[in-house]
Amino acid sequence: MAVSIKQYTMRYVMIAIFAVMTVWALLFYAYILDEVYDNADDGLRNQKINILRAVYEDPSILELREYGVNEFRITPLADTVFDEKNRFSNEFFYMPYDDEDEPYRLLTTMFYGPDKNTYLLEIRASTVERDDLIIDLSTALLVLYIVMILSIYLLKEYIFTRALRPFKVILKDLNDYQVGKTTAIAPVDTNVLEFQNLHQHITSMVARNAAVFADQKLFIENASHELQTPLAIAVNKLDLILEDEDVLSGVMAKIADTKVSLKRLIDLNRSLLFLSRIENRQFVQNELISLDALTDELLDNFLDIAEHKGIQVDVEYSATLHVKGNRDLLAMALSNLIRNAIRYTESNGTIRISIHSNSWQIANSTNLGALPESYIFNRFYKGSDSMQSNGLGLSLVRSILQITPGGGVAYHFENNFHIFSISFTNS
Amino acid sequence: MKILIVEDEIELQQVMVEFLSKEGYILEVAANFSEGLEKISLYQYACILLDITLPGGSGMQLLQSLRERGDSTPVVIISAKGSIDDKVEGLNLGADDYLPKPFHLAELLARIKSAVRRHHNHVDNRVIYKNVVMVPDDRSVLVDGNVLQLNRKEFEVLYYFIIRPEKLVQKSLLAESIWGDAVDQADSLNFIYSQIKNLRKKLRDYGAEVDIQAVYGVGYKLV
Repeated sequence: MAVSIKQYTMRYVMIAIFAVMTVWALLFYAYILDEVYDNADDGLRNQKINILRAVYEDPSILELREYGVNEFRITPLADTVFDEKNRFSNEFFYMPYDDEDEPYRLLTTMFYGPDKNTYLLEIRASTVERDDLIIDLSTALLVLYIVMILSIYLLKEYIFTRALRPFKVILKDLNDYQVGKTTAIAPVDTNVLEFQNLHQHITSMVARNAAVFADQKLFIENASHELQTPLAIAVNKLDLILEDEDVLSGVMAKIADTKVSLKRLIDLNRSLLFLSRIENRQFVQNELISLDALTDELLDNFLDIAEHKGIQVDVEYSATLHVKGNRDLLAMALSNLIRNAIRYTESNGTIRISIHSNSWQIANSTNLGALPESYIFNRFYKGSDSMQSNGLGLSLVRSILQITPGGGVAYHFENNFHIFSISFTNS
Repeated sequence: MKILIVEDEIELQQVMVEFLSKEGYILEVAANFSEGLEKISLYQYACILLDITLPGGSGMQLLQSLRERGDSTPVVIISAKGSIDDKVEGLNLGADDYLPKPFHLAELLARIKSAVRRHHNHVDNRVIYKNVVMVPDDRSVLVDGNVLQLNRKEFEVLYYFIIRPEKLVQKSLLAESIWGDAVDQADSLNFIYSQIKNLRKKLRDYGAEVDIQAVYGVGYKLV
């Protein structure tokens, strides 16, 4: 799962600090304990000196067999190898105050009394409770950990929000970026080196894209130019022949037929050019177009031919439909659909155009049954009547609607009507 | 009337010259940018036909320099680029019309005539043949002084005929120029025939001395 860089860093900071603090806590505990014992041991050693001095001044002290107010006891030893080494150990003794055994540091050593006898001296000092120390230390560290995480979190929120601001600006610019439309990315005000680099790279990428795009556009246009020019010459030379009064009428009819074929070639070339330009998104899509008005405008050309074929055309305006897009392209899409409807409606059939607030629909009656929905929009799909069609009409419609923001086109068959619906999600 | 054709494609240039000279125009040609620039700076023309892609520069620059000098000679851009941007740019720079290649020569003639007509809007722009008078500016037709009511399409059809009486008007020209892409090739024969039939009837009913004759398989002519 993707997480933001804030969470990402936070996760690792938390783990890292936890690990560091755990190791540190163990070391700190050992160090403190060592220091406490060291301190206690120094005190015990000092007390030993004091006791030994006191014993020589007052031998009655040798009689102190039990720990009392003195916190030491002396036991006479017999038949023991004398060892005056100081031995330290941790022992538990009953402490009435707490009513339980408490840890003591114990110094055990031997000495010769004034009577030359060997005595065992044990001096004790109450010392720190290790489990209490662990609990206290853990609590303190936990509080420290929480405070640290919290302050790192707040600091990070602040720093990241500030530091990532130019990054977000760059992201937004990239999101709005459209090849062929955006020529430069707005400058970003930042002194973060990485973001400056990022912005610089994106800027040069945009410039490169613009150059490639311009190249490609030029290439397509040049190719079209190169094709259209010989076609234009051929068509116009045929026009000149047709102007000649001496040409036999049979020849003229054949020349006119040749022109019809050339016209198909010209249309095919133009459609292919349009398709590639549409797919390269070379059209600006920012005009607000009223599809009601556009429909009326297009129908002006189509009504004569519909009437001629005896086709009834009904237009239902149930709402006004304004769409943001490219006027010429949408006109081409609608006109392709209307032309298809007229082409494939039998005489005395009906065409119904209905305009809703977010869709435009054309339905035409047919005797031939449903079309294969899955591939009628493919390039060079041709129905039963292929003579009149170059197989690019519906493909153009789909491409146009694909690049129109929020646009889409669908086909369905209902009650012997072919229905093509153009929908706009954001109109 | 003198027309300048700025077109680098020599064959296309020659075709236009041949056609337009038969229509009574005097033609001058320029095949590249500098030649074009020289001619538009030195001479006056009734109309300039301007290609966009020229050796040595763009037709747009020629148009710009022409307009910057305050010269309002009608300019018809003829371009194979077929790009909508070009059309918009050309019209914004002050071109009077934009005709994408390939075009019908008769269509070119019609565009030249209307560009020139719009340019001289104060002079008599009537087109007269026999007892039929067309006034393109207010879209009216008079037969012997009586107003002949034509719808817009019928008017346009008649206009293509009357600017070239006695000459062939191809039915494909009528279909493409007047009904755009609406008419399929397969339908056009029948469709144009019925449109012409209606127009003939109206002309006859109003006592026009003109008639539209079929030229087998190709089109019609006004006689």
